[in-house]
Amino acid sequence: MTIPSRYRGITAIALQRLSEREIRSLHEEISSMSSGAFLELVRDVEDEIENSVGITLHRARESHAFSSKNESLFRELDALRKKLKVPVYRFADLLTDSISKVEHIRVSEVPTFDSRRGLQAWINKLSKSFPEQLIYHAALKLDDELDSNRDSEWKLR
Amino acid sequence: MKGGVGKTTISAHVMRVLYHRWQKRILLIDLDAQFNLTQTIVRQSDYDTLLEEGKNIIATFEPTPSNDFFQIKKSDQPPPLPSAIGKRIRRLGRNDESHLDLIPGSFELMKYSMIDDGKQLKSAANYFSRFISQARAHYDLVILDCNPSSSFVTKCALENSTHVISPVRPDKYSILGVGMVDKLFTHLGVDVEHMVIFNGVRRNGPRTTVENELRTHSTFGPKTLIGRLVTSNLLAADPSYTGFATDKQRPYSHTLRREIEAISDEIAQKLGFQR
Repeated sequence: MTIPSRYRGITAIALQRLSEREIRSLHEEISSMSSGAFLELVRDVEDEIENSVGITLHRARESHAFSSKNESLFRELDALRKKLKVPVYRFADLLTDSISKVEHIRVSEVPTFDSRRGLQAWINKLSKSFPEQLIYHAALKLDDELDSNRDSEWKLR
Repeated sequence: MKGGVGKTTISAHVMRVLYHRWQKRILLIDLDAQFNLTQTIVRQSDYDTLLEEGKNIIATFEPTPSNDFFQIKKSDQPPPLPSAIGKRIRRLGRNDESHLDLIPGSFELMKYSMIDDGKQLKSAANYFSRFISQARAHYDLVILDCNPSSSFVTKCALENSTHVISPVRPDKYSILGVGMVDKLFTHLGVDVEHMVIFNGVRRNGPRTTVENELRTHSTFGPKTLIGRLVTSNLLAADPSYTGFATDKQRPYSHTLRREIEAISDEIAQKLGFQR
């Protein structure tokens, strides 16, 4: 039998192998709902499903050696590094220097870059010592120092 | 903040994702007399029912029904619990362990801009403060969606806040507004953690001069979230759709959801949330 496309949603109910009594009771309950309440119910169920899938994925990521945490920061910083056309170790030096200036701390207080472990591992280590937003701010200051043509007339004080 | 920078967008769409992703109890409070947050997620017929039942923002400032547009009712009784005047929008878990609730807005909120009697306003401010204290006991996060002006209501919101999120568009006027918001905190003597978020940027677009200026600013740069809200038709007010942008099944909705998830994670980290 070909299922008409308008009944696509019912396939999920059919897959549950419900008894006739359960189907009737479900029909009765849904019939008494407003369309708005039914919509909300469907959205909540969607959340539940997504949630259980999300938790499984999250656990899988957690067990991965390089967690996806800080991934967007890593992507942004690596893109900046490429824009500045500097090798990873040089970029790490520059960023270390910039963080120490922004935070008014000594360079030795910034976690050391280990070339064997790479940039992403270093950024993970950095983000344990400093907020991600501060690291990004320090990185953009590097970029800003190299390009002075972007000044605006009205400055934020 | 200026109107149209994205306060309501953050309150509705980012918080909807944050609630689900972090499984928290979140209360959204619509503190704007134009109640755009309410209009975004509640259908008009449902809103009318909520008004009839006295479930709206006015009940957080004074006992309802309010008698007069130019008078504020006083009461020594505790304010109502959020559950008595709110609407459950989303729920998760067998016993609604995580939920997203809303205290609907109301045009009547305008009255607090019309009344200039300090004593009456003080009574409303105290009542609101007590309401928020109660709400804190029942929720992990209470979001106050303010109106653009520096009104009495905004002042009440700031005085009861621990964090402020200022959305900015990558234009000169929005950026300059960030400094003014910070000045307002100083004038009011409020101690809040300020977060700034860019809204309305092009997906994968380069940073503009103004964005760069803010991000490299010694005070505001470290307060600016890395994640940016992109310009998207999904986030625009759609007359034929009431609900959250990330619930729409349209092209790019999955991409938008991933982007908002990254932003919600940054906010959750700033708030010190643990999974």
